[in-house]
Amino acid sequence: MSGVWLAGLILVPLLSGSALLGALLFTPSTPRRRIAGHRIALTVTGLATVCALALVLNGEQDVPFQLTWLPNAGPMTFSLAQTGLYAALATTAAAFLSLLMRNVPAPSPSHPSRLPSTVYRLPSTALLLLTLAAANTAFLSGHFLGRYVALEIAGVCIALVPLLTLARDAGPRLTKFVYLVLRVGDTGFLIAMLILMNAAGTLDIGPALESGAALSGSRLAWVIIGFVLAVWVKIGAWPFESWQQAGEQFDPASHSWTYATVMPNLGLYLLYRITPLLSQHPALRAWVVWSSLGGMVLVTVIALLKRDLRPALLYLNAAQSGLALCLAAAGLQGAIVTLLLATTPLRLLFLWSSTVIQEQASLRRMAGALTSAGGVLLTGFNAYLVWQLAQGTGVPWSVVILLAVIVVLIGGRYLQAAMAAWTNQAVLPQEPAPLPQTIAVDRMRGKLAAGMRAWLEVGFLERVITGIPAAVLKLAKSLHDWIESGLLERIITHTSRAVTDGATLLHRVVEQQGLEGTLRGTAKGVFEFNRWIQDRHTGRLRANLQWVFVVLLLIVAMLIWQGW
Amino acid sequence: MALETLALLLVLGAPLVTTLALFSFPRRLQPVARWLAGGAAALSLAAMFSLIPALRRGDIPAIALNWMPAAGIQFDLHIDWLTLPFAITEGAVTLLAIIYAWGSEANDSRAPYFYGLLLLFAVGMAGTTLADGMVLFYTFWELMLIASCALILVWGHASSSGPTRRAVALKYFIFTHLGSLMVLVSLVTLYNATGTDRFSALRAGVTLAPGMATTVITLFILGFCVKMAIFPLHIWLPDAHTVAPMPVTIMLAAAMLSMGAYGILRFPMSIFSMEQMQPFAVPMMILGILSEIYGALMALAERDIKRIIAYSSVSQMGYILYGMGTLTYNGLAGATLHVIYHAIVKALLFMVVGLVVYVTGKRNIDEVGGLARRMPVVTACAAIGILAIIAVPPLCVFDSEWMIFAGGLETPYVTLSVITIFGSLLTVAYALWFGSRIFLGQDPTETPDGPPPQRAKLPLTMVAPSVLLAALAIIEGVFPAPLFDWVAHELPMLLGGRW
Repeated sequence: MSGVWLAGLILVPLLSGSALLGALLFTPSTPRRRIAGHRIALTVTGLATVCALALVLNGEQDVPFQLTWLPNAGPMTFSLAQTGLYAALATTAAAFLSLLMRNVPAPSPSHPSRLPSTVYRLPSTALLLLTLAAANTAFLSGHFLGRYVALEIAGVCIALVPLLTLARDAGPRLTKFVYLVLRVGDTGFLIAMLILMNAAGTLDIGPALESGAALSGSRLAWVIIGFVLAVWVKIGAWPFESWQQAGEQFDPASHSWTYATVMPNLGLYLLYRITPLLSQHPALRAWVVWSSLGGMVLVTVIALLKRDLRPALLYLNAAQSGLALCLAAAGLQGAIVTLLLATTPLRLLFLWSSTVIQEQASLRRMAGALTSAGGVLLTGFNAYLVWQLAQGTGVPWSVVILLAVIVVLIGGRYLQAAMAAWTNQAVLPQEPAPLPQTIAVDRMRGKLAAGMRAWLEVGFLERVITGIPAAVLKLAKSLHDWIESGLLERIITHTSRAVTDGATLLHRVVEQQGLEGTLRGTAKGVFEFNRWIQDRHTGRLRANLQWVFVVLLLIVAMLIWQGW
Repeated sequence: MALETLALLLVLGAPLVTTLALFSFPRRLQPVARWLAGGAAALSLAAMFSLIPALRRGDIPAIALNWMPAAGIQFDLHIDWLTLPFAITEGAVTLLAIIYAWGSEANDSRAPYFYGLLLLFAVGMAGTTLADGMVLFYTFWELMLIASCALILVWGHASSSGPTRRAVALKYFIFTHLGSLMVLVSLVTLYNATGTDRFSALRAGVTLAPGMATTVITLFILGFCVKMAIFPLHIWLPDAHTVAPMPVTIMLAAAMLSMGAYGILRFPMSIFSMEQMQPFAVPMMILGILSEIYGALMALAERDIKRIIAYSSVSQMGYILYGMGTLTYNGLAGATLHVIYHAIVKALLFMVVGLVVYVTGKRNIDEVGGLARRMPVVTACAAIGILAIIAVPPLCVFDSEWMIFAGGLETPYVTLSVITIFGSLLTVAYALWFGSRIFLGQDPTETPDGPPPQRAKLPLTMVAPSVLLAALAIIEGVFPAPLFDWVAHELPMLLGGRW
């Protein structure tokens, strides 16, 4: 039976998503089709949630299904371990809820074209289903290669959302950026799993991870760095939250699920699996703690300075991700899964509330109340996690205290947003329009916010994250000018010129002046001698007779000399 | 005459006889020149495929004729598992390039010569892989150069600002000939040491002084690296690829570059032992990494779309050299597979570039854009090609890169492997930039008040090979087992076969 539930969880979203994408390619997108697409997605995700629930309730079972793809990688299998199933259930249910939250009225039959263009986008719906299929495959794969392929496909689907939904200029730019950042993480994952494959002789996740203990120090370090990089990017901890920033431009379902839920959950689940490895390398463990803590401090400050809750959520989630990394470094494996299960609904709640607070005045108070409830819950949960951290995990007290402060600040930020909504102050002008700064504290806060925005967000982050491709391009151009058009061309030009000049010189010295010169000089000498003889012999009878007389005299002289 | 012998003769004979006929009766055969060329290429490819059952039985189809008996040199042709992937890649690329040429090249009075030279180029490549003797190998090796050089010289498209086609042809000839001379020195040394030019005799063992063995291997690797266009010996490639007519570019990039890889596998790796090759492992890996990264950076810096893909070849050949340098089972198998997959993807991308140039008449990436609406099928093919070259699973290049990277991490040089894997991010950068600039965004020629862009009319013979290659990129990626099987047969022939 588990095979049927698995098909419902993976195959049905895959086929529906593919069909929707195919329909999008071959038929025009009308409002009715968009609504139909939305309803199909709602049904499919609902069905997938039921299937995931059924698998969870059935407990761990063997799946009689395996696929051999790359001959040296062994058969790819599914693993129905409880943690993977919980993660799949939470993510699938979140997809269903995020689609359900899109409470937009259907167009009236008389004006079918009045449906806003930003809602029920068929491409994002299709991509949501494909991403769901890929994500569930990744959660339940018992084989590293299967998981890698699923993660890559999920990454491609997520990156394609801006391309298929945004304007011509912004879409391709964001797609490139999102894919490139996600690929950085996947590259780390690839390195780690290939090293483990080499050590374990298998890509089955369990044995491969266990073989990590037998690795040499440097190889283990690369494995951990690769995995941590993969997790860091996926969960959107600072500075990799920037790829999630693109999600703010999409409809709520795409934003709340495709950009804010699925990839972070995949990252958290991976973090859960690799947590035992982290404890084997104390130096890297400490590095993870301190760097994630530094990132947390930064993003928490940014989140506090954001007046609007929706953009602040990105930074609050990044801070939450930093906490997850600290927990993993402390070896609290169970806490990671709990964090995944707890934060998934809360993330959806906060995103929904932030949208409602901004757009629907009638529901603002209710959204504020829910935000405050969610904030309290999250703060309590985070406080519990920090308390666990303090219980003999070897994490320094200074870290624990700092984390506690951050947890309070995160909670405070949610409560602040809730209070603003409750007291109906949530007019929330778009930044950078300033709020009235009546008192000195307000003025100071405004200045600090502007400074932070300029130096940390726009200045530092933009320069670091989005500036890398530009820097690479600049380097490429410089290299091209210097080596390709410069150095190599110069070497070739100079070499060919040296050869040509050398040949010319050789030709002149040896060929023209040496050999040919000698030959010409000899020939010239012979010719001149001949001409001189000729001058003396021909055409002048008297002179010739004189010569005869001289010759005869010479002969006589010779004969006398010889004794005749 | 055995069926296999006939097939082996057909592999070279069909294109060679057609070439002679086209050169002898150009006027009479002009109307059917393209069909004759296509037919000969198809026959040659079919003959190669027909030899696979014999190889599976354990036979090695061969032909042996007397050539220079006094010197012990014979005209020996054979096909073995090492030859097969390269020969079939070359044959398939030739056939597709000729079909593509039906649409891209004019059927004028020079067409018989053009197709004749294309076939001669193919004979050179096929002969290089089928030759079972060093002299024959070198003869076909040079024939390949002469035919391709003539094609560039006569049919090349030089831009007004760039070098003339004569200059490019000369540069191409001199550079690759320089590599050939290095190979020749090694071949003559081996001949002097063994007294025979047969590969089978060389594989049985060559006794050379240690210093001499090192020199021979070095010259082999450098000479073949020139053909592979490995940095910094690649300087002939961008100009030659840019100036050559598109079918020739396709054959140069997708088939001829791989002849360098074949040379390295056939000579140093088949003749010398693992111990003798070990000192060359790290230099080959480093050269491969340099080429991979440098080629990708140059592709990012270029504006000419043909040159972007040309530099991409420099980068991809870097992966192949790196894979071979690992001296591991996975690395060598991955490198051979990468030759085949690179041929598929590179031919596809060049075909796409040719179609873009056909429609727009422009090669500067800044002057084209938004072509997805005018060329949806070509855009889909380009998307598959781009996703394939950036190694997105389950497309074909992922399979070979996976094996190359796995091979790299089996060596003690983990840092080099990590650099290679991270270097692949540069491929992602230039490939996505290339695709998005050409097919997405705003068309620079489009005005806000102008009419919506119309779908471009494209010759079927140019689109069909592109679609076929795009499908192949998917099929080969999803079902890699048959090709893996071919390559697995080749590996016992390399480095003493101790895997």
